[in-house]
Amino acid sequence: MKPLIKKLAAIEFTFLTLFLIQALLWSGAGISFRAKFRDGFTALNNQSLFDWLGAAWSDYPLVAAWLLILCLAAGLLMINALCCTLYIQLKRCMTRPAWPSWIFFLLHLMFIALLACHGMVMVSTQKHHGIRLFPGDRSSDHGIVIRLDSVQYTAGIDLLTMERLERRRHMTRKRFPMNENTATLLVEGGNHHPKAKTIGMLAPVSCNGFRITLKEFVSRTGPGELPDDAIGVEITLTRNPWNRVFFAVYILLIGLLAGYLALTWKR
Amino acid sequence: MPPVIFTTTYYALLLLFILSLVLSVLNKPGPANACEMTGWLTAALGCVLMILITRRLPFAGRFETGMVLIFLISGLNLRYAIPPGVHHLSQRKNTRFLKMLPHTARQVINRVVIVALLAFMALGSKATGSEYTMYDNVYVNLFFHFRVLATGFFLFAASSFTAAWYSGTGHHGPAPDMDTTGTGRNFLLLGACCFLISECAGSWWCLNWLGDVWQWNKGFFKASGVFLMVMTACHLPGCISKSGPVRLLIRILPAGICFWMVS
Repeated sequence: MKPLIKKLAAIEFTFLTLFLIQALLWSGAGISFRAKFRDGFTALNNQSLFDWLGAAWSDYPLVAAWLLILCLAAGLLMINALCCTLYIQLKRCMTRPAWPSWIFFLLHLMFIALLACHGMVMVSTQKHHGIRLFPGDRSSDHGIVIRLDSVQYTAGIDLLTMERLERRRHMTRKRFPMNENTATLLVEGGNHHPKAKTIGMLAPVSCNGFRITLKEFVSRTGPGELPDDAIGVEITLTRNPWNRVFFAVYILLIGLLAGYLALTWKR
Repeated sequence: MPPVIFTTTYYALLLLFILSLVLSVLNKPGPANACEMTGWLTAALGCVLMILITRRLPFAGRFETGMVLIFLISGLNLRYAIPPGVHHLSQRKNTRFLKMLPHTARQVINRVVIVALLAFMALGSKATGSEYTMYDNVYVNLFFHFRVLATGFFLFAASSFTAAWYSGTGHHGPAPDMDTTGTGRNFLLLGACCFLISECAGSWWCLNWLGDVWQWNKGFFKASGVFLMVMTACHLPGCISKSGPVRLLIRILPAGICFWMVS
């Protein structure tokens, strides 16, 4: 068993897995320039992983294979980090106990935890994307009832009919102050009475474990067409209990890296 | 605010850093450092002006990014100008240009980088960048600004590693200079720390906007690629560690890729 653990903990193995994951990520960035693959990634962004996987093998086989290999490579990196941390670094901490050694050990543990959290967030996110509501509309398909009560929008309807890049250029802090452009939702979950909640861009609300985020304001017509008066919102509903753990581990990892650097700063 | 202030700042920086580079090549460390110090103060003034005018951290567009990078790199260049054991600049005045100390080599490399940055800035507008509505958000500010800071630290680490490698190629001694290598390692890790802060803030931004901490798109792939590059630079096996140019390439790649991402 020991020679196998030794091989799995080797720095050569770390280097190879890191190289493999990088190659996969850069190739992913490369293929996402092609519309067909980009659509595959967009579909993955808009739904839960398992929902996507069901259809992906026939619709986007290359993206699905790419994702599978990436997950396998990340799994190998995790095994390598685990073996190295427990087999080499823990031993070093026991034989030569010192603050930097312990922080180095914890830093690696946190990295493993972050990888695990990333995996957990990926597989456990419930996501319902692209829910478009106009004042008076109601959405009740996802275990929570949401009604759009009103929209407070000050930026001018022409902004909503522009093409994406042009809209972004015109969405300045002056023309589109985020705190003045909001929507009031009546949210009802379980046995609770409807509660009025004000949602804004980057100002989500939570109810029954769901996070409701406002992606953008929408008009009833598409770009280039004549708009009518109705302005609505496009919201996303997500539920993931792992997000808090993910951020806690992330912050701890940064703190440990900063601590390790401060203790071992080479003058 | 008319852009004349920023145009003046830009041309002052260009003049000062070209002078500083020429003087360091002519082996006049004192005047070269004086020019660099003035340039650093000018860049600091430029950064403060940008913050006051835009009421956010500087990060948007080529001009803002370039100004922050020049401020960071020139500041670090001044801070690490004198090697340990050398108490005054005049002690290294007679070193011939091609046989310069690793510290001097790093100074020259950084000045070349700064002049190249200024040339790159010449291609765009000399004014503050876009005023996109989300730039009001603190996490968006942290995401972009810390990415620029990380780039600055990676660039300084890259110049330190290059100077150390240069010193080990026979011009100065048989082995890479340990002092500049140590500085390179410090700033590579400091850059990684800033990059992680940026990514953490970016994940929070993404969660509050799109409902998820991660998106499957090229921006996220590239960012993860950069972090893994830093990890690779910190986990070099013996066979690669022995090859100077390959080791150097792996260590300076995060700087190049990160610069490409922020510019």
